[in-house]
Amino acid sequence: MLLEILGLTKAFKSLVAVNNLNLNLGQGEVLGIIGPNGAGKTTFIDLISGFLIPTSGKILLKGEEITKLKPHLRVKRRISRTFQIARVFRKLSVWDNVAVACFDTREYEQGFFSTSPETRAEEVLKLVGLWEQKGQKAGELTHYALKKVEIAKALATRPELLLLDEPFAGLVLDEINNLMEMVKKINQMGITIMIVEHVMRALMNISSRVIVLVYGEKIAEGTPVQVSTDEKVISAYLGKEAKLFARG
Amino acid sequence: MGLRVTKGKWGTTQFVPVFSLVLLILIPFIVKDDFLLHVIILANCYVILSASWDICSGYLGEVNLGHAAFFGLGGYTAGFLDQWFKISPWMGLPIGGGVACLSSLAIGFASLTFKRDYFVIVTIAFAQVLWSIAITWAYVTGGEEGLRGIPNFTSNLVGNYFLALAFMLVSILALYVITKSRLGRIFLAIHEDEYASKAAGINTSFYKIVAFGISSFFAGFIGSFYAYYFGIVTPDMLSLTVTFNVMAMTFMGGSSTIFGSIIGAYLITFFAQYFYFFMDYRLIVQGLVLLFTVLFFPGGLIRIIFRSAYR
Amino acid sequence: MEPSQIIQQIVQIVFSGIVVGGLYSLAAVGLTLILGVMRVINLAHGSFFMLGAFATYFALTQTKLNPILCLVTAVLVAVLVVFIIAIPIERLVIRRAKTDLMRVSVASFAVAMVLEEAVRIRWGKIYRTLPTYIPATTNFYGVAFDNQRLVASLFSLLIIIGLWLYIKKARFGMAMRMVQQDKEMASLLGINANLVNVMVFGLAGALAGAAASLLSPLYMIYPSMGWPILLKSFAIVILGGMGSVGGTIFASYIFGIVEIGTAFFFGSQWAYITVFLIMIVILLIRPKGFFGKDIF
Repeated sequence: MLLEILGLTKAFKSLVAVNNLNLNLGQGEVLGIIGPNGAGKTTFIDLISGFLIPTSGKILLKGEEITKLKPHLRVKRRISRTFQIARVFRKLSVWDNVAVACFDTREYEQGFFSTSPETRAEEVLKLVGLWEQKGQKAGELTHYALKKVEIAKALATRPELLLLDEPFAGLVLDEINNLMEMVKKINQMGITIMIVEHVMRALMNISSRVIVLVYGEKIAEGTPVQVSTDEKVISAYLGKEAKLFARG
Repeated sequence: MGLRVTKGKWGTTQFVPVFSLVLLILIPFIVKDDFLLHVIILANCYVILSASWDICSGYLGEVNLGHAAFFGLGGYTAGFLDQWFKISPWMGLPIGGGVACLSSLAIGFASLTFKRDYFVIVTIAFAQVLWSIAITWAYVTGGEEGLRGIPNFTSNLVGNYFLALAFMLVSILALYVITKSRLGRIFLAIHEDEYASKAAGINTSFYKIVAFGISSFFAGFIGSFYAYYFGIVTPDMLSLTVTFNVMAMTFMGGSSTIFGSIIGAYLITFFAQYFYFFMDYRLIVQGLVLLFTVLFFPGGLIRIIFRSAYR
Repeated sequence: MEPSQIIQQIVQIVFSGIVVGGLYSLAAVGLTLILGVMRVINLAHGSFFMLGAFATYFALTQTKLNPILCLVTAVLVAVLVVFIIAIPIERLVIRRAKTDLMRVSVASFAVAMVLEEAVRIRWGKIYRTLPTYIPATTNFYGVAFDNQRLVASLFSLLIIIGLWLYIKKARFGMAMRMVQQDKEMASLLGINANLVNVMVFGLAGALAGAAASLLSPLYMIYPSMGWPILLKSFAIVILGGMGSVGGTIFASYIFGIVEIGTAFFFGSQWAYITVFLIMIVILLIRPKGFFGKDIF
């Protein structure tokens, strides 16, 4: 069991963004998270990655409690995330963007991670297909390229768990297919993935399991097919599209 | 960011620094003007002050308005070391830097973890506290008169001149290397987007403290030199005027570039020293020019002159 | 000392602390508003205070009116002067420099220096004092209170209450609060954020001016008097919690009492050190301050 989430709750004064969420995540899974806007999905990612501290509840990573751990320490424990709006260092080059994530390498340079930051940066950039553009300033890239830099940055720290926050937003058909392949490949490398997404086709296609969040609560859980045919989900959410694609 | 040195090309960007350096080395032999040498020594001190301020306030983005505190700490350390321990100036320099650095770590630990605004205020407060202590605790610090009779490295002005020049070159080089290194890029990343940096595994609080420590070390180091060179230390070293000067030099020269400080420091030092009949109005003129620069040329002079090398 | 003397002494300290605290609260609240609504750091805040003090000095020494009228005039003059100076500063300087911390810090610092130097060049560095314009003392259960201080603290209380009500009830007050909470939403609702910013800045300056005119008779007036006030205001804001007007007011009184108390027991040179220590201690143990919201 990679990640255990017990009774996770986050309240902002009177607004409860995440309400008593329970979830188990196994190694190698691809967990999709869907739900209407404002359902607390990004808050959930913030909680797991350490950018928010829960009001109550626990998060356990391989049995170790990380509920209140600072973000960069969670990265050291192999949890990485991307942001919904790509937070890329625009003044640095593409290479620098990824390398900066590799620099703090004391843990990395032993055993399993005994590759230098430079090697890792190269591997990751080639994986996402940005090696040719490594010298370009990040601020000058196209939308899809920025997303790829964002993912590359997250991969640079050799995560075991990768949290993707709406990576498919704003992409055209070709790019969506391209990214789907990339995410599958990342999963095949052994990385567990949790993905929040609205683009149903992509999410249903790559997820092994899906949960549905509405008003911060989990209202359904199961395989993509199960979830898209669930009455509750369809009524809470415009699920017609999901139903169609999950069958295909 | 920073100077892009293109291999083998000889344009203004390469020519001007090399020419200036050669000029600086030759001046003591060409011109027999003690005052000029003194002004250049002063300018070199301020170059180090400005560049070190830049690395924390400009590059990293944590604006430190108490830089004078570390400058003064270096100076007073030199004074104390001489008064009570009779330690040689050569030892005094790194110790001065060390004392300043350690104090900055203490302050930084308390204030760098939060909103940047807090850091600005805590640093001003720190400098003002030290300043008022220096003035009132006369028994230890000599009060307004300060500490006197601090020994020189050498009584030869030219000797001091080359010492200052050497320190300036080494410091600039060191700071430049830092900005180009992994550390420098981490500073830039933190400056641009702290959340993204945290998500990339960077311990932002740690690196902020590192930048502050480096900045303060250099300030303390040159503060000690200043004390040894002038032979006295007064509370003026801790005053807001010093911070104001440094701010003006760095900003007008070009912030977030190490070399901009050279331009700013030389410009303002020469102006202040040679236009001394202006002295009563110097600060207000400097303030107005600085305001003008902030509003209309926030990039500073170096980005105007060397437009090809900088954005 | 006899017990009754000790009590008298303590009452005097607390009273002085409340007086001073009340006046500091005006300056500190102005700063909180700027930090909360405009989200900028204004290093020239102290200079506004200084300008108010000088305006008061000249207003009072040039006219010969009866004491209460004097006080009112002084306050109005100070408020007007600072308000008039603050508005163009906001429009020309702050608005442009707001984009990043370095720029706004340098800009406001430069403004502060320019104002200070301008005053110094025109009127010199000397320390001036204002004569007490409300003479005599009132006796209250055997403890003597200066009328001057009584009136000053009453006045500041009135202004604070007025301000508090204004923020809570008046349309502009609500506009300010809306901009503080969510700037984009506020402009979507038709609020002119720029106008709010200018007004807040002017208001903060006016408050500083009022504080100065009530406070300066108690202390000395000189061009660089702004910096201690700036630091104290900030310490109060940190203590009370950034962005919280109520917290700031509460913290000012506490701060005032602590300051007077320390000055009494340890001597007035410790003023700066106390301020600094308060800042550091709060940041170390409770960075949010008493009532603060977000700090990151």
